[in-house]
Amino acid sequence: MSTIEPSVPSRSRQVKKLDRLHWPAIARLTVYGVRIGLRANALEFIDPLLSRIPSGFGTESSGPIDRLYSVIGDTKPRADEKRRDCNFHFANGRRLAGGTSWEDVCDSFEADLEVLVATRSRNALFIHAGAVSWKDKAIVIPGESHSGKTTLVQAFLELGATYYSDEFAVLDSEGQLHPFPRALRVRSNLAGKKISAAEFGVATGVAPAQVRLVILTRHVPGLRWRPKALSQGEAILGMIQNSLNAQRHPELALSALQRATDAAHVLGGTRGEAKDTARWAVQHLNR
Amino acid sequence: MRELKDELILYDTTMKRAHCLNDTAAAVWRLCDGRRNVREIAHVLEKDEELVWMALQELEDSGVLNRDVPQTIRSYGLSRRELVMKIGIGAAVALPMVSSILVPTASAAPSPPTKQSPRRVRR
Repeated sequence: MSTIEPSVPSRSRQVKKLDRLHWPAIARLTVYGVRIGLRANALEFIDPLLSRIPSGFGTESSGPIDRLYSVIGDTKPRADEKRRDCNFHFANGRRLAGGTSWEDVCDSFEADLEVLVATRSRNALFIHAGAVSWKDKAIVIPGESHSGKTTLVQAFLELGATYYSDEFAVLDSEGQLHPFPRALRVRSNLAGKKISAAEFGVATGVAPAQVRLVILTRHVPGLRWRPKALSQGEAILGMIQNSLNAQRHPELALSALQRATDAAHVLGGTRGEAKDTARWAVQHLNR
Repeated sequence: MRELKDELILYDTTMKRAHCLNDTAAAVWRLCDGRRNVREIAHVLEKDEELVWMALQELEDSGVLNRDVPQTIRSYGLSRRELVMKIGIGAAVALPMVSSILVPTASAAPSPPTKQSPRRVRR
C-alpha cells in the first residue's frame, strides 16, 4: 500500500479540509487509463471498495490523478441500533454519500467510478451497450437506458452465452471487446434487483473478444423479430450515438469502431421478445 | 475521416457531428475541390448531372461542404422520385445518401445518484 498522498490537479477547500484527517489506507490505481486515488480512514475499508471495480486495474506510483475518493467508514461498534450510520464518501471533496449504510457508500463509489471511467477513459471507447460472447464471438447490443439491453443480455445468458456487461461495451483501439462485468440490474420491480452472472450459472468473460454481431434494435412489445441488415457505416453511427467518450477522443472512437465492425454482421429494426431475438442470433452465429 | 468498403465516415470536430456517406455521395464529395463544376464531376463519375446535383444537395444539407451550393436539384423542379424515374429504377441504389448524427457529450451519461441520510427536523 502506497504511503504517498495522491495529488489532485487543484485542491479545493473541501479537499484540503479532508486532507487534515488521518488516512492510514491509500491506493493509487488506473482503470482503463483513468487515474484514481482512494483513501480510507481504516485499512479494512479499502478491499471492499477495490472489489467493486468491475474490471482489472493497474497501480500507479506517481503523477496527478483524475479523481480522489475519500471514504470514512464507521469504526464504532453498533451498540445502539438507533444510532445513525456514520459512513461517508467524497469525490474530490464533493460528498456523494453521507450518514448512510456501508453498502450505500460502496454502491455510490461503484456508480461514480463507472461513469468517471466511461466518460474519461483515454485508451478504450465506452458505449452504452449490453455485451456477451457466444463461442468466442462477441455480440454488442447498443442502446440507452430502458431500451431492453439487460433483458436481452439475460436472454443470451439463459442460452449459455458468456457475460461481458449489461451496461458498457468497452472497445480498445484494435476493436476488441473487453469485459466490464457487474451484477445485472434487472428491472423486474421498481427497486431493480441485482443478479450476478454466477446466479445464471454462466461464466464471465476475462479475455478480449472479436465483435461478430451488433444488434441495433429497439424493443416494441408484441412485435415479431424482423432483422434488417445494416451497413458498417450505419453500425458506426449507431454506436457513436450511444458512446460516452467519443467526443473527447474521436480518433480512438473511429479506430475502435472501424476495426470492431470490419468483420461483424449488423442488424437493425424492431424486436419483440428478447428470448426470440437471442435464439435467432445464436442460430445465426452457429452457421 | 475513415474509408470503409462502400462508405465514408466523416467526423466534424468543430460541430461534433459524424456523417456516413454512401458510395455515390462519397464519390461526389471527393471531387468537390473548388475547381470542378457539376458537369465535370458528372463526366468523371460517368453519372447524370441531376444525380450530382442531388448529391450536392445532400452534402449541403448535412453541412459537410464549406460553401453553399449555388444551385440545387430543387431548382430543376425534380423530386427524388422523379429523378429515380428519369435515371432508371435500376440506378435507384446509386442515389446519394448522407446520414448524420450529433456526437453525444459526456454530460449525456447518467449521473450517479448521491445517497444522503434524511435531515433531522429540529423542534
